[in-house]
Amino acid sequence: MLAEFQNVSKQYDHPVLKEISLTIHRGDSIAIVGPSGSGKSTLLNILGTLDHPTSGRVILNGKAVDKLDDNQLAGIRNQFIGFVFQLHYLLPQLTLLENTLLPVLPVKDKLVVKKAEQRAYKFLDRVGLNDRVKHLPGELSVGECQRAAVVRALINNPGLLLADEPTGSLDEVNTASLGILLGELNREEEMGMVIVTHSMEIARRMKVIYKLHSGRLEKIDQP
Amino acid sequence: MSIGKLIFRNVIFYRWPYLAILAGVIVSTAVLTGALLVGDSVRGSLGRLAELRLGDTQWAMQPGDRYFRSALSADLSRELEQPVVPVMQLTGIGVNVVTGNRLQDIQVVGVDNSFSSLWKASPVLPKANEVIISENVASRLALEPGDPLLIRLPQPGNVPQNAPFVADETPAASIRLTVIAIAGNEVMGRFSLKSNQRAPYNAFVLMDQLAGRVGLPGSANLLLIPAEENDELTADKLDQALESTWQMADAGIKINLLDESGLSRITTDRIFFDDLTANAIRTALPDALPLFTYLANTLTSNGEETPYSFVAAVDEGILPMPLSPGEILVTDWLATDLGVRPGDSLYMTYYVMGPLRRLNEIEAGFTVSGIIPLQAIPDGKTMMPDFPGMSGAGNCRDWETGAPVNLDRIRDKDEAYWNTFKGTPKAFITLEDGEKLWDNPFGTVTAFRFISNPASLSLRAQCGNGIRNQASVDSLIMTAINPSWHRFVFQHVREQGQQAAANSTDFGGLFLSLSFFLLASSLLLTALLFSLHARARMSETGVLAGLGFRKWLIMRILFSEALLVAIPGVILGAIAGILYNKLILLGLNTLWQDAVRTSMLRMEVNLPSLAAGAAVGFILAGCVLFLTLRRQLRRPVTGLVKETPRLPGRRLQRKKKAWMGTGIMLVIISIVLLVVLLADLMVPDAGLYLTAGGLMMGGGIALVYVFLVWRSKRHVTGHTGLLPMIVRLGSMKRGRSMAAISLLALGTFTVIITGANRKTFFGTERDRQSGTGGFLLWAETTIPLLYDLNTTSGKAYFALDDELLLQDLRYLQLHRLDGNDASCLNLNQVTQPMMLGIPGRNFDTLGAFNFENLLPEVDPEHPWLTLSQELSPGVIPAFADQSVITWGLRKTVGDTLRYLDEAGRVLQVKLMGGLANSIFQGHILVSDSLLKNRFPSISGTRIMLVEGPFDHRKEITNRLEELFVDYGLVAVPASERLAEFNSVENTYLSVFMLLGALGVLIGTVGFGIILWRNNLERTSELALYMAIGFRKNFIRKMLMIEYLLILLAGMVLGIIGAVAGILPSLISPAYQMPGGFLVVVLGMIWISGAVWILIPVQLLFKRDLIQTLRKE
Repeated sequence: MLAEFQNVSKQYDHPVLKEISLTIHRGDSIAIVGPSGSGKSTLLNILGTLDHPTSGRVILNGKAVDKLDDNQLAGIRNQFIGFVFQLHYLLPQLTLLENTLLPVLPVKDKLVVKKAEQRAYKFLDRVGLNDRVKHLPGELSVGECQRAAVVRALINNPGLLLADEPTGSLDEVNTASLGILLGELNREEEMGMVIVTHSMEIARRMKVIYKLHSGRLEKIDQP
Repeated sequence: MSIGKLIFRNVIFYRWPYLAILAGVIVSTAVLTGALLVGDSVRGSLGRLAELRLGDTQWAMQPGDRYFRSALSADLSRELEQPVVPVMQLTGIGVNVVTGNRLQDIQVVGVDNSFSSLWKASPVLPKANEVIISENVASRLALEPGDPLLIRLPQPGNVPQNAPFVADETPAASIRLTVIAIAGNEVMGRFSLKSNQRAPYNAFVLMDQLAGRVGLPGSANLLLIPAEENDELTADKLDQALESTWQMADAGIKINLLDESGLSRITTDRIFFDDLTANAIRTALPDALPLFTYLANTLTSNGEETPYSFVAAVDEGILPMPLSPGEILVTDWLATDLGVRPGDSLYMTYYVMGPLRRLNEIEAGFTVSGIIPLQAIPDGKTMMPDFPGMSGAGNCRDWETGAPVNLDRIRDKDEAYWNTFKGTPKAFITLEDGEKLWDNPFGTVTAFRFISNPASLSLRAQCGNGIRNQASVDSLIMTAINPSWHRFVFQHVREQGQQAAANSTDFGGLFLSLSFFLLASSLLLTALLFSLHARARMSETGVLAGLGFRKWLIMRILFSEALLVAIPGVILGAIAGILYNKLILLGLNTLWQDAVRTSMLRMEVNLPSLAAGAAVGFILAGCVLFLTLRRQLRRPVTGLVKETPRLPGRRLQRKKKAWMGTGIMLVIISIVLLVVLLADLMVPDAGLYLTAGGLMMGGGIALVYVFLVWRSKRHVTGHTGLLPMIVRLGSMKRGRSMAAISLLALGTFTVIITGANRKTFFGTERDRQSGTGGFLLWAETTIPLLYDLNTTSGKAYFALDDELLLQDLRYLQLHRLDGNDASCLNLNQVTQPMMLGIPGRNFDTLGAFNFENLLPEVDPEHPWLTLSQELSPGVIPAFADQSVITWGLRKTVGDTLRYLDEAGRVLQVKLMGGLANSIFQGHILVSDSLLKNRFPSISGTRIMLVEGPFDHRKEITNRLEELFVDYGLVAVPASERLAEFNSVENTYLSVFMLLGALGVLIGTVGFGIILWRNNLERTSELALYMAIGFRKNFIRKMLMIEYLLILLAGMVLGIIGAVAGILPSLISPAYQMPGGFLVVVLGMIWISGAVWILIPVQLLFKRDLIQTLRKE
């Protein structure tokens, strides 16, 4: 089991998530859909340790995250989770390769860094960016940048890949292409994957689809 | 890629925002470093000025009005094996004989060739009839080499001019000389022993000529010892050298063999032996018999009277007949004149001389004990002291006694007596009676008599048992007396000068506080720029957090970037600090010269200060950057990636309530404090008013925040007007709006407080309690006035009696002990300031002046009466301006100053209270009688306060200056004198205002940056306005109104706080607000703010807003 939500609730002015329970295993791919403001991103942020639940427990890689301090949470995000945001957020001052290697910056072990470099080249090749490694983000298209952001999320070989509206800023062609890529990665890398999306095109490529409605998850049967 | 490389790449990539941050760091470091360097420069310049005024002089002996042989310098030089330079220094009046222009208070320095040893570059020295003048004398009197210069001098001398029966021969001497050179500042021009940065007016003349002209040939009154390479001189060594070289002539003591019998007398040039010397001679020569001869106005008995006779008080042994207290022994001449016989009563009237030659005629009665033949009086003619103006007179009618002599009373037989017997006393009383009747501050012995010839046995019987020769008497006397009693004491003037400079007004601290607002603004700007930069990179930091970077690592990266910028910032800032220092010094030497009274301040760059400025600048910038970053990164990680959702309603409500509570509380505290202060329920204090003002402003800022929260959350239904909509839109970015409002409020508050606190006293100058004491004029003379101008005789003496314009004037003449100026006009630290003798009872009656601070033991109802009594033996009470105590002396009320009195005894002066800002600034005020008691030789007065009608002030001033032209009188309105002192403080306030205004300017730059950033973030909003058909001008108007409202809110809050802060001044009828000045300053802030609003708004419309919307 990679991750588990045990009766997780979150409340701002009003309840956003209501006693959600969810289990994610290696190889799972889950899409979460729902209207804007339904709490999809909040759920993903809690899963990615970027936010805390108001009540309930989150267990990641066998550890209850509410017992962990900020530094331990950062360690989990770095080693266990790969995050893809709606915008690529590549650092404009770094090349594509440097951006993808950003997660290993805090690592001092040269061997790990070396391996990460090999992975970066492999994945950049996999996503068709092998000839763009020395380019700055400003010289690439949005789709290329988002693909590079996926490579960045995979660089530490995470157990769980989280993606928050990864195609939100992409056109149809790029959306389809990214959907295919994520599906293939899920199969090839045997990782758990949770994607928050409005795009049924993407959602359909996941094994399970949940709809978040009134703070609760409802499973949707695949068409 | 390493973290270091990432940091470097980030700095390069974000170079523009970092350049702006760099500028902020440069400004703050420059202000810090510059201020410290100003301190160094002023201290260094004062040290340099001390060098310039002293040359190579190391030690100086300046015994005031005691004159000694100029040859003493040669004797000392031989003893010390070191050059010793004799000088005669007097104060005179310079007159350009061509134009008639006069210059008072010229230091006339009589020098010989040895004077050149005090200067590294050998100066030209004057020969007979030549004078070398300093640059300021040349400039003030428009003199060039070759021009004639007349110098008027007081009549100096060893005899105190206010001693009984001394002729009033002032002013006496004039010398006409030719200017041969003008002494520059580097050599001689600034020669002075007074610690003051202001250049003295100097005129160098030949010492022998000067001494001869004032009747003291071969004399000097100042000895200077230059520094030697192997300087091993100490005060003890110099004292010993003095003791072994000084002679009777230096002490003004003479021994004369009176006749062949061996009868000798010891006399002093000062006529009266001071008590210390008299007692020492009595102890050393028990057989020397004291004598005290005085002039009686009238001797009366049996209805007969004898005018103007000398009477001697003698010790037993001088006369061959016994005498008891209450008895008088008369000569046969007097017995015949009055027809008296032993047992008859005899009355004597005589003058007792008070201050300013005020004469009291006293009568004393005696019983005639016997009649002595004139021939039986041993050398009677020499019993009369050598009163100048009397002893050399050919007949009685030529007497110049300094006391009125009615010539009509002098009979032919009196003239005959004078011709034959000169000043031989006509009667004798006991020494005990003489001391009682004729007691005066100068002494009660006029001579000692002893026998120096062992052959004369008969006289030995008459005059005591001691048999000595003159040489042994010399030796005994010189051993018994001490040079310090004559103030023959060497002082290490170089060390004192350097200490005075080193402990001078701390301009570093001063300019640091004056630059406070500039420093705060630049730091705020740095923080603001960095905060905006950090916010702009929030998504980047969010991504790093999302990728598992720990917060401290993200902080380390960003902080390292900031520090990488701060390092060159502080280096460049330190260099810019040198420039800032140079600009301030330029200002002080020119525009702000009122504050420093010199144009000789030079830049001095000390590495430690430079390093300290850079280090403190680095620490400050580092702290500001760190705190800003920490605040930014305190947000939740999700907020770093996306704009954080606004605070949940309940939290915002709680925050609003907290701000409202704080705001209301601050305003209430401020109002209560003001009411308490205005109702006199607390001791009024400017600081408390200022606090109330600050609280009011702070409360106002908090309430504006609450208002913005309220506007942003208000649920509007339906259409709203333009202005409410603008306020609502502005309230969405409350944080930035509040930052701008706070910045502007603080700037406005500071500028108004500073401007409004400029010292003025319009309308209060006639008030007794004001700093002028209600006096019309403050007048100073170069040559002392010996008479009381309020008396008929005094008016007659100075020809004031016929002056209608001056009829209603009252003069308060004050004795002054010379010393250093301790006013704010002197930057050096002063240890022995000038002392003024104050008639405390007079001031008490007038209720004059006002005190800021008094010791508990001083009666607050009658503080001036405290001055009249010694606190304990050798300790006298004193007052001074509080500013003199604090800044000039670096003391507090209750502290004690140490002086040496005229007899070389330690005199402690205890500061009992501090006056509010007054015309006495620079002086220590003590009781006139106590001052005269300790310094009896202070001859006449050089200071006077004039009371009279204010309507004719100008005419009165001119007429007084005309009448006292020979005395070098300069009169200034008392209010003008006070204004001169105020000008120093006002200059500092001007500097503060200027630097504050610069700070506000930087603040408005920050304001502009906030608005620019705001505009960037609102691009879509503004593009939307255009998309829905708003015209550009309308949108511009909306933005301008919104931003001008922020500007207005900031300024209004600042004005409200400032008004509360200066309330006591505003409601005082005596206060006149420098309104025009403040309006200009506030107008400039408004204009500057408006410009910084206009620029970002204009820049915004240069972009294609619709295109922005299309992209989104």
